[in-house]
Amino acid sequence: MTIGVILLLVLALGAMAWLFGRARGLAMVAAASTANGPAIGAVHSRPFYHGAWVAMLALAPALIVLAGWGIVGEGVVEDQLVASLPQAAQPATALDRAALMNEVRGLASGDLPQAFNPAAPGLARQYAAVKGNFTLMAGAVALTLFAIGGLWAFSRLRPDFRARNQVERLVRGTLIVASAVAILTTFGIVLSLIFESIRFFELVSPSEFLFGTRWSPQTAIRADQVGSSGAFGAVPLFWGTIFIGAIIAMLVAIPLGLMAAVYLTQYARPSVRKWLKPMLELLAGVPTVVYGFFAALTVAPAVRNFAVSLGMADASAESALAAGMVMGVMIIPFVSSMADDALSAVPGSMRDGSLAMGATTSETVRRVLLPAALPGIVGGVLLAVSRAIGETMIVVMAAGLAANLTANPFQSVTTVTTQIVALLTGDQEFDSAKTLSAFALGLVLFFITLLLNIYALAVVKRYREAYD
Amino acid sequence: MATVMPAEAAPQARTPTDWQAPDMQRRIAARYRAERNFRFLGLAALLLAGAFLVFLLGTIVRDGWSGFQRTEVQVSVTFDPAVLGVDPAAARGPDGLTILRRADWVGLMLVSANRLGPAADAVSEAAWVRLRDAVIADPALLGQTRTIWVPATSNIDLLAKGKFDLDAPAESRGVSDEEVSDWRLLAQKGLIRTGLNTTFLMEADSTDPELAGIRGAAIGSLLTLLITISIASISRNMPPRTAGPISSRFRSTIWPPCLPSSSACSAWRCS
Repeated sequence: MTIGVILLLVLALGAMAWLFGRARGLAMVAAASTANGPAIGAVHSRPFYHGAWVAMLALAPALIVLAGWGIVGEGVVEDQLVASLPQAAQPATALDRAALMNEVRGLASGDLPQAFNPAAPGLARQYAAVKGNFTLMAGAVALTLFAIGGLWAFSRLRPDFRARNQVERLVRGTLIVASAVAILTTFGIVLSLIFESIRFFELVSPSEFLFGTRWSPQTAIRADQVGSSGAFGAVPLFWGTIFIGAIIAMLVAIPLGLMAAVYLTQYARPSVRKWLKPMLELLAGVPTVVYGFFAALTVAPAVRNFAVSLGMADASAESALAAGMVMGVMIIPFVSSMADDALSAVPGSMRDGSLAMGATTSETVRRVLLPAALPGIVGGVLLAVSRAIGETMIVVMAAGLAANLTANPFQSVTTVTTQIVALLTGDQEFDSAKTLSAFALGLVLFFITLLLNIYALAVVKRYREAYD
Repeated sequence: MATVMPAEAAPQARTPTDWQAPDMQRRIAARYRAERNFRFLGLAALLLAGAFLVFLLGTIVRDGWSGFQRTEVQVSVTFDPAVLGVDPAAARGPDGLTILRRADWVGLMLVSANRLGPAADAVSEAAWVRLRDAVIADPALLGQTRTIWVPATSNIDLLAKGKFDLDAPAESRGVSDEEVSDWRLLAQKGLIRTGLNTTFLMEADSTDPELAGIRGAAIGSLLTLLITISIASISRNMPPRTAGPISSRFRSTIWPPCLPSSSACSAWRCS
């Protein structure tokens, strides 16, 4: 009997428990009613809530036991099987043990014709029986708890029992747990970043990481290896990230996005706006991987040819300019949409006043609307920057891996996200400074985008309150 | 009697602005010119963004559409049971399918491709699959001769689509002289055709370009999508859509996560 069958059984019994509780509730209503019809208020809760109360108390402990067994069950079976082996034949390390159990499972299911480990065939014969026994035990515990919970809940049913309040409390508790899962996941991610970064900073000093200007993350596997200096100065990476995401991309995105928003909100007729705005937003709907190969295969060679025509002999095919320009195009709709919101939020009376004084529309935009909407626009731009510096696919494809500290847009620079991808793809040991540095980079990037977002949202909020 | 207002605050007599004066006319013209320029700049920004989009999509379609086409080579195949190592009687028997699957299709393909003469290399490595599938679909083909269209190698395919610059020197154009002459020979004899690339749409990935398809990747994406949707819909209610699609997408990716009570989020609600 598998755990799935037990689960179905428990759920079916749960439905029955609901029916029993509901029947009891109906009976109580019938008992309290007189010849003139049912007595209002004689039974506190509707029959539905009596049923739900019984079903919930019966199901909750049983489902928790089954879920717990689903998580730890395989480990318990493994322990039992491995312990049954003679001392000499037991696997020495966790890796050996996992390999042995994979063979055992493969043999037991018939996927593997033969095993390397001589102990595996014996264990495979026991595997199904041991697992079946344990599953039956878990099922028995679950059903016992089901019976206890269900019977206790059923015994509580009285006309004055507040079943509705109890059920609502349980439902609210479930919802709180569900939302806590999302929050705890976020905390888990941040904590894992922090712990792995601490391991990295035990190997490399934080001041070298934050202020060093040489990035060369190869670490030596052999003592006599050449070219494995292992320098972890992250300044070139953060410079590259800011150069591409916050400077070049914004030089493209801010003027185009802002002017597009001004035209759409101030000049375009509604019929034109209806067509142009979705077209602009289509730019944000293009997958970043498409932007990536567009940057790498179409824009980068064109930029390189342009640089060569300017007389730069060593122009790189992976230039900061190509990646930054394409990223800027990707960001245009974000800037324009934020600026659009900010311009529309300026009170109409200010615009009308300016126009009534005889100012042209462009003078109104430049002297009245833009200054009034500036905090909102700045907040939107900061949000766009934080998105641009976290962007990965475009820079992985188009920005290159050389950690240059340069202000020449035709040279290759690398970004934090590109380096994280490069550090974590491929085979490497997990305890080396090279692998762990990816977590430190991720942590710093996370804090930068977090601060940018908090600041940007605070700016936008303060500004919104000024006009609301 | 007290003065009602101080003398300096009293309205001063001023001459009305003469709007018809030449310098005023110049000033108005300049302001209108600035207005037109500004308006033109706005339109230009919008059109430039639109041009990027058109250029992006245009480039993708221009470079990508030929991926939906593939080139096939016509070979004349004699399904000789001796070459295949198959007993025709057994192949029609109960174990026929197993026997046919174990037959020497690669050998048969080699023999058939050699009939193309010097262009024998133009046939894809996995072309034999077509022969096998043809016979499994119709075992009566055994012993007969048929013309079958099989996939061409990737370079022949690209030559047929005109992706190589044939005027460039041999070492820099990415395709050898033999392949070019193979392709010319086949094209001259009319043994080559380009049609819909069903392999790309129906098959899984491969290291050979002419045999690669997106099916595995598409199924993987679909499953990821299903899991994402199911987790997102049970764990989190989406913020209401108040503005356009961009703003609402944007909102769900910003920090902090939009919990209904979060004060930082309320700023976004009132737009």
